[in-house]
Amino acid sequence: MILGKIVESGSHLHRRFFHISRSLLWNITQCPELDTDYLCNPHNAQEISDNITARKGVGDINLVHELKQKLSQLNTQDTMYESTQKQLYSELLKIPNRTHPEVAGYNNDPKIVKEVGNKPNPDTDLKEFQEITKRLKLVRTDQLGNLSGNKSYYLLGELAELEHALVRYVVADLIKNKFELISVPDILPREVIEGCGMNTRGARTQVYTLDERLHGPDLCLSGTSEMALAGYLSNQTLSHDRLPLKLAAVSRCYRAETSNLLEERGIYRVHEFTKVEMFVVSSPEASHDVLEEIRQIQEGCFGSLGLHFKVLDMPAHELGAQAYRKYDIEAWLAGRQIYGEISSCSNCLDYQSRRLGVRYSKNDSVGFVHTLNGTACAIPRLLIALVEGGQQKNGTIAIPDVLHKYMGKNVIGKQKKIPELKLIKNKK
Amino acid sequence: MAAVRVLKTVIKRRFSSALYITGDKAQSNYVVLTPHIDFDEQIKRKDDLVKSIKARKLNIDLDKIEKRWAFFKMLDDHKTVLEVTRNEINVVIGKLKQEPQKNAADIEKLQLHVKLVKDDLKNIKDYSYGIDENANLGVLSLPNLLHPQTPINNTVTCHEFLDQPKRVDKSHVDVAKSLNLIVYVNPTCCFLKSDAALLEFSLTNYFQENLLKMGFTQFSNADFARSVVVDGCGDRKIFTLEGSNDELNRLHLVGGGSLHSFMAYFAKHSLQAAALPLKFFSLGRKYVSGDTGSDLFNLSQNSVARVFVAFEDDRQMDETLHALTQQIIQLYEPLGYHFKLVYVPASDLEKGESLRVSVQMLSNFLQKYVEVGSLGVYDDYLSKRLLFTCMVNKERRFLKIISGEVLNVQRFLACAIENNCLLEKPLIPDVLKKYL
Repeated sequence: MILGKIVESGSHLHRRFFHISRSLLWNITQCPELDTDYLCNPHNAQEISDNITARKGVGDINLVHELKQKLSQLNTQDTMYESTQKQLYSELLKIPNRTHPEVAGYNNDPKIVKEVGNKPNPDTDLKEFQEITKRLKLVRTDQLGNLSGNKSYYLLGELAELEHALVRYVVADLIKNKFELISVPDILPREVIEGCGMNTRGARTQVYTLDERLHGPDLCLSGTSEMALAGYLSNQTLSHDRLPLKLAAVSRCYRAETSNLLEERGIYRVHEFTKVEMFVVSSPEASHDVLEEIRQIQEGCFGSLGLHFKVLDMPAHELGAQAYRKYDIEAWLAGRQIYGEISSCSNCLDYQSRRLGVRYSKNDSVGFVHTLNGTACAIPRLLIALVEGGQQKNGTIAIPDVLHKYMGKNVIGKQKKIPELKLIKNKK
Repeated sequence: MAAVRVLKTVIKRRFSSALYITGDKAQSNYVVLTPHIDFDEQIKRKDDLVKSIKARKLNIDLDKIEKRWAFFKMLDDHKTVLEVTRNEINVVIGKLKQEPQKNAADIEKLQLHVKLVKDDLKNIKDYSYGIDENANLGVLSLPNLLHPQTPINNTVTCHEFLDQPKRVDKSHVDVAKSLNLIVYVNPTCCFLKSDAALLEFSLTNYFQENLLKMGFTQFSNADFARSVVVDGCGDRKIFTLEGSNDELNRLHLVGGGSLHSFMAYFAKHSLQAAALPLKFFSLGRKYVSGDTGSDLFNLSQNSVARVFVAFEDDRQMDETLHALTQQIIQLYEPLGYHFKLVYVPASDLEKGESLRVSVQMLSNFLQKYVEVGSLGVYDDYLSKRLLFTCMVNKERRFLKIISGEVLNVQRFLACAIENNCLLEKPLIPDVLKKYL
């Protein structure tokens, strides 16, 4: 089968072979088993079409049905058969996940599920993250574009310690909650990333690609460890009694996206950051409860850090193609006096597992698992919330109680060991 | 001039570097910095340079570099003479023009002269870019000198802890797979599971806490670096991102635990001498492209701890190196694994290093010592290339750097798995338990 594909590919033989062999190493399925019973049933066309519209998503269900019709009229020996089948697959893959019925009922606004902690009284004396960290020499962002890339940043001294302490605290909490820690690669094949529902091509892609001429085709940088963890499980069949399988990873995340929005200034939206991620594989019947469990872990964690935040059930148009339901957590950023998204969790049902071939077996039956993911701790925004919220009258920053034991201190002050730098002007 | 024209055709512009950009290319490329090149000083220690090149087994023809440099300087001097002549003639013409009628013949003669000088200048400029680039990139291709302690042929052991573990007949990859500790796909892709992942977590926490106790300040670095930094550090085993069209200013994935990420922070900057010495460390990734092999010694992605130390006074060099070496011993001994500290021979040094102290554990399957950590002495090699200076009595000084990956988790893990094989010790020693 695979050999046949290589021979057919003609002038792209070398490229295709490389392509296929790399996928094979990863066990990425070439023809995912999509839910065609649902997607290709004309009775569902309206529902699917309405869902795409509500999600402001891509995909054309009518085209899917046309192609399906066309394919059924062709003989398998027909020269058009394979190309039509390929086109049908390509269109099927574009159709987004279904949307939770409750969510489908919301209009354009998210539903506030709960609020945790109290919103502090407005205080005009409160400073913003950039101002505080510049004064205390905790972050450097200036004069770096030509040396370490646009929007790059360095966390310095006690802020780097705070980052480390957060990761330690959150991972320890996840281990207590029976998550298994996995160390993941940050460079992934394109198929793994696309299997998770991310687009990797085009001018607006959020995914960085490595230079094809130097490193071979189709190597991308991971935007979240969810991708590596999903790839790690690809083509596995897990015994039902191992579910839910709860995985956690600490990784660097790379995103090509950028922003010029005023409220996203500083390190709010950056190209590179550290994140602790939860990834859970569950049986279909349990995934709704697992999503609630992930949300509770997040609420417990952010609550223990003394943050004030809202939990939002996001409306259809805010869901990525893969999500069936998504909760966002927006924390109060005291300096800028706005709520900012610091975390989210999603139930993807079988959207990712079908694309990556992750199954479970129970007695004699085999089915697709449900996958869920949640941010346990995404560093830059959590630092913004903690630094802006922790600022004290004397100019120092209070560290949340639960982190004291990891930092061996309870406040952050000016970093005396960080030297003042002066730019050397070019002369020749 | 005829000789120059002949050479013009002989010297082709083979080199291209983001570190040294000549005037012609500067029109389409932003020149981030111009390295400090002092070949006239360097060549005063020609014997040491020759020794360094030879001991490192580098294919560099120093005589050729010297000749190119001399020619470039000659040309540069000639250019200066022409510029001065042109200016002088223009001054004289200016004066003569105060009485144009009277001096008409002289003015005409001088104008013809100045035109010839200008043509010569233009000609020189046109072809001198190539000569300029060749000469300077030749100089930039030279390695650092050798530290007196660097052995020429064999490694020299300076510290050893515990006895060598006995030979085993299973590699760490086989053992790790059978114990379900790793999923190895290829050099760019390896997952650590269960105790292997916990070892990574606890070991980095252990290094973090102890480096802080030893007076180091933590950095959390950027993972990307531009070509100028990569060329400045003199390393090409680097991942390059798609989409950066400007060949001289591309974006590379290096990792926050790389030397590049520290040099990107300090390049093109000066600081007050009072801030010295700098004692920093970072925990993060290090990405290396092009590694082959199918074990944990050759992965593209490693988790590392790196120290970065900078000072100004030459006399602090040996004292600093000694102190750092002792601190590494203090970090490694409590972990309870056999290791030794060695000075690596010149041929194993990076071009920028004058000395490297290597922390090595035994792969008792391969029967070979493997570097799990190191300290490189760079002297002012990097700071001259990337302009990292301090002011002492209003005078610019280039900072001396000692930096090294004091821990490479994946390599440590591989040796630990093999070392533990016969002893059936837990992978995570007691000392690390409190860091989980």
